[in-house]
Amino acid sequence: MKIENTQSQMRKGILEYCILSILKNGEAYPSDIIQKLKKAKMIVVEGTLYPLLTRLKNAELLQYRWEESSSGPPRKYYSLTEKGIAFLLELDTTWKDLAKAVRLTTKTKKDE
Amino acid sequence: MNKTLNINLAGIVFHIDEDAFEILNNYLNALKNHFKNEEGADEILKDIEGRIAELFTERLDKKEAISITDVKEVTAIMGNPSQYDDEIEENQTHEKQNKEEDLRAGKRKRIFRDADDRMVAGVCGGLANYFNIDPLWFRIIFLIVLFTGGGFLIYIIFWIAIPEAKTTAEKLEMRGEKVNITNIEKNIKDELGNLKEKMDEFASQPKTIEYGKKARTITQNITDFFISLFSGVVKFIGSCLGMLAVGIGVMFFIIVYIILFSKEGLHFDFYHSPYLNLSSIDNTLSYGLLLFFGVPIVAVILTGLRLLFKTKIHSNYKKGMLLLWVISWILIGSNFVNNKYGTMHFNVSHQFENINIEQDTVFIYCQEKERVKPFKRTKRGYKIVSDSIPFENTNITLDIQRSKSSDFILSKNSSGYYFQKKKDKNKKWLKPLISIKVDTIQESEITKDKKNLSLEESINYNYQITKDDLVLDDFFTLEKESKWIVEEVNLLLKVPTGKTIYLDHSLNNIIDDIEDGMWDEDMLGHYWKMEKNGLTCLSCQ
Repeated sequence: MKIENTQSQMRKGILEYCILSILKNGEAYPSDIIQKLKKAKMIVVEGTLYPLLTRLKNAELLQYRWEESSSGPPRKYYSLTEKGIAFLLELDTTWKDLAKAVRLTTKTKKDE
Repeated sequence: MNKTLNINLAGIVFHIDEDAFEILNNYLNALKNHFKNEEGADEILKDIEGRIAELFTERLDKKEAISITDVKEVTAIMGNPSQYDDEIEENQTHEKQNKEEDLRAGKRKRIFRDADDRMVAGVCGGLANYFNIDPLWFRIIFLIVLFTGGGFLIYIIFWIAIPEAKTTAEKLEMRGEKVNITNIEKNIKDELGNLKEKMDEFASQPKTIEYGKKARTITQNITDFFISLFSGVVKFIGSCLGMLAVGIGVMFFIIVYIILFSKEGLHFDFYHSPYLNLSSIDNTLSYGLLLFFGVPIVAVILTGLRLLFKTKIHSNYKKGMLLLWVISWILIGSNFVNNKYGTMHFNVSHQFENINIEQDTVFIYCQEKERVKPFKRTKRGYKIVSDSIPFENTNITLDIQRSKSSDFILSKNSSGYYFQKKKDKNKKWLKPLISIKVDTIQESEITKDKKNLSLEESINYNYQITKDDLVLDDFFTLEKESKWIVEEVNLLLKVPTGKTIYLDHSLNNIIDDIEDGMWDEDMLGHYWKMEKNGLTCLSCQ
């Protein structure tokens, strides 16, 4: 069993949750999202994000609008749809439950 | 100094160094390939191109052209397709993972046309890569075969069957592990080995599971086992079928090719078959027939290659093949509309010959005579060398009846087909010998056109009379120039009342239809006397 496999398994589920959470505070364009994810060490290469965004958009959790850019090509600004918000709220609950579960199971005797 | 190209990324024009362009192009192709099964692949690619354009714009503050370093940096930021898998791909199948691991290790090998090392379409280069031989050898082989005419077609088939290596990944695969007969064998053995492993695994399974506790897991395991067993068997059969299909396909292809395109080709039985006189078929029909038989054969070969080398055939080629097949129908159809091969079947009137035999008892034999070998093997197939072509005794029949006179009478009755080709340029040559209905033949008309040999003239059947023997030949010959397709020669021997005949066993193949209530074969080896009410056996018990 490779540690990399387990690590990426753990990251995979959370990545979508992270993207939705970033958009909770309002719309953002891919570079913004990438910056935040990189800072949080959730992704390493940028190419990872684009297929995910498209998938979330196709699942009607995200929507976007075009905006002209002063430097470079026009940008897509993504935001949550109503469905996306509901989805995120559910994920929030799930995450809290999970976090609690992890906290409880990883607690050592010393912490008690 | 570097040559630059202009490219358009997400609507922005960039100057890019040629070498840098190559890398970028490869990278984008690899991405395209990676996302090809994904919903919204175009959109993802456009987004990524947009991002690359953005990153390029940032780098172009102080300079004009994008260099190889820029491309390398940007692609490093964007990451390789394999990295995406690590980070996000969730529904990746086990097989695919294996495939990619093999690919990275350079183990997996597929056949591709090599566009980098090509003379025409890279077929020879691709084959050379696949078998790890110098492409020169394949080129020499193809050049040699080209002169015999078949090489061209074979090249086209390979051209269609083998995809071009476009992406880096495909180029890697192209140069992977050597594949030769031993490796194919090894692959099959591996498949079998896997099967065995799974069997063993399955056999040892129940011991590791606590009894009664996990019944569901066991059924699950059984199902999984059968699924994997099944797919293993399918794979194994697939590779076997692949080899078989390629073999059979190639064989059929050669046969069809020989039949249709060697002028004096296979004459053996086709020659006197009334329905398939291939020597007189003209070109549109033979191309039609070639396509008609060839397309399914090529399809078989392609399927075989696919199973064997696990390559994919582009759907456009499938459509193309279907189109070719339809064309073959049109070609064949048009041929039958334009040139009808009418066949007329009729008998030529009897020729009576009085046989001068004094003896009371006549011995009738059939003699195997040495005949001229009509065909000679040449480089282009078989060629007719003699003036006449012999036909075997299956086409000869002998009947015996009572003669009304006191003489032995032997009559010869030939029946055959004549190929009449309408709308032919050489009307004079092919003008029907007999231009009347089947039942009203007039002999005088048969010999009218002296350029043609009439049926009775062109058929040559002989017999000898010595003392009290009647010796029949076991074959007849047909003139080479004859347009007749002779079906059979019917002999009728009329025996006068009171005379005795002995039917030798050698008549076995030709004796036919004697009305006396016995099996014709049982009559052989006996003496028969012609009485008023027919033949009577003298030596039977």
